Amino acid sequence: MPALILEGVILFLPLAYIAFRSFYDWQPSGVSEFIGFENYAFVFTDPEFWEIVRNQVFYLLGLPLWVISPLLAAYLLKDKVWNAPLFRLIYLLPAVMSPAIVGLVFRSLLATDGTFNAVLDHIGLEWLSQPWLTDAAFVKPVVIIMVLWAGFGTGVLIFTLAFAAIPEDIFEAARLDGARFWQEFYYIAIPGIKNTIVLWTMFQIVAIFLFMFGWIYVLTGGGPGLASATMDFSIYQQFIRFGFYGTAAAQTVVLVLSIIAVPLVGLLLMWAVRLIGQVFKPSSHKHSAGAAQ
Amino acid sequence: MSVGQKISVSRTGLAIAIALLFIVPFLFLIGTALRTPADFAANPGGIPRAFTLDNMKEAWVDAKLGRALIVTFVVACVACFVCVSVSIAAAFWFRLKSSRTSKIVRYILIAGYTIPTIAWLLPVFVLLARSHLTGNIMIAGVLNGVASVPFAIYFFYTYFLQVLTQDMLDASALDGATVLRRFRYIAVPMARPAIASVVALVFVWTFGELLIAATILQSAPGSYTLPLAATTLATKESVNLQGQAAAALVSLMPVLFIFALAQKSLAKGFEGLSKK
Repeated sequence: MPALILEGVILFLPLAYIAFRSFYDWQPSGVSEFIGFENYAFVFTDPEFWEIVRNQVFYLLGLPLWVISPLLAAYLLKDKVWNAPLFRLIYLLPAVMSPAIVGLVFRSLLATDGTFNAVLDHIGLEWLSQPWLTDAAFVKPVVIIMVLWAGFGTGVLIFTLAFAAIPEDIFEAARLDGARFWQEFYYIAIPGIKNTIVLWTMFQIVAIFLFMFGWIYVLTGGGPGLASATMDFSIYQQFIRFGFYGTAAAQTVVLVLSIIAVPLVGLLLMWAVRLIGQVFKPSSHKHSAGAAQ
Repeated sequence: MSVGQKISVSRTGLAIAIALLFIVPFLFLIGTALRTPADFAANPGGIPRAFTLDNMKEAWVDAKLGRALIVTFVVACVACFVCVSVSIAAAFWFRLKSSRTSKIVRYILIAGYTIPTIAWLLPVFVLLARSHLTGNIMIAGVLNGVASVPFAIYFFYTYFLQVLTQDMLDASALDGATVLRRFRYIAVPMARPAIASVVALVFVWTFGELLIAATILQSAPGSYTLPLAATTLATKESVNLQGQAAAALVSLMPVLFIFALAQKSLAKGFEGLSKK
């Protein structure tokens, strides 16, 4: 099986190797010395590492936004909208462009002397203009909004496909019963595509840990300071720029473990919420839907 | 959208408002990139009045974007070939064999998706550096292709589950077709829409990929991919805002072009997946 061999050699074997090397004072071009857990001890006592962990947790706060807004938009576009496919296509535009290039676009637009601030000044909203990318207070929310902007179209597409699988007569029956937009959304649409919502949420969580590099590298360079750095960015920096191979390896292992851990914790939480829901209100749609979010 | 429904003005209006959020940044970008420096300096937030292509030309020459475009194209083609050929065979095999082992192997292969690129890339980089193979665009292509294999296996497998029924497989087996023949004459032709989707996605992903390029190709400016060349140019201190905007605009155009081409086949593949 070529798939097995290729994936094994290129994905899994190196992973094992880096885990092995994380216990060494790794010098790729020289002699590496076995130092046990010292790399880990160094990583866990490093305040910079904890700042990056805090950043990652902060980015996780964007999750409800990343899940709920495309969900609402997909539902909005489901019917009664003129030329809905065209809108879906427009929303999808950023998704097909590279995060690196989109990052570049916003790097020039959001710079302190950039177009966005200039336009704000021009239309008399000077008080709103900010150093969006260089102020530690703004940079993380800005990154969250950017990621929403980029991933929105994909979410809308996926939820649209899921909605298409719900039989239309259920909605019609609900409408005959006098259901309003929000009621229909909450009691029929959401429970109907619960699995897709869970899948998309998982996908977004993985993306926060895995696919932020392009954004961070271009948009902020991890700065100001380390205020917007993610784990993959910091590992890259340590390894390629600074040559701290051993600690980079240890940090990689921590990253891989946390990618496994976060969805697990999420699943446990969902399971707990559902259990509590069942105890208080048996067989209600509401709680399973709430849990899925 | 079902036919014969009234069009709601408020819903359409809202959809347009959201669409503007996606269009306006590009208008800003085009405005910034195409203005003459004097016009930009005089009134950066106002309506552009004097236009020039000089910023674009400069970005094109400075970052050697023409060369980068060809490199990126080669890398993306290699990635598509590796990814599709490997994963479609694997997906077909998983569709045929439903033993416990094949199920476990399938899960493991698809779970490869959650391995962060950075985790496998660094050891591979060390290995390549030792054998003096960094800066090789073929290798960058293969790595990009393999990175998408977990996703592609999942995609093809789901697709095969829906279009290749058990009856079909049984019938062809009774006719005495070997596994290879069934793959060649049944699976591949039937998977054509899925192949088109995967090719389009992998192509677009690879086209915009930065991490692998920045690690493997960093040391060889002659083989920079488009995102790497453009970001390298734009993160130089000496480049002004207009230069950055121009670099971004120039690199967006091929991606938009590809998207316009790939759009139909993408839609087809996804339709195939969503049919029950």
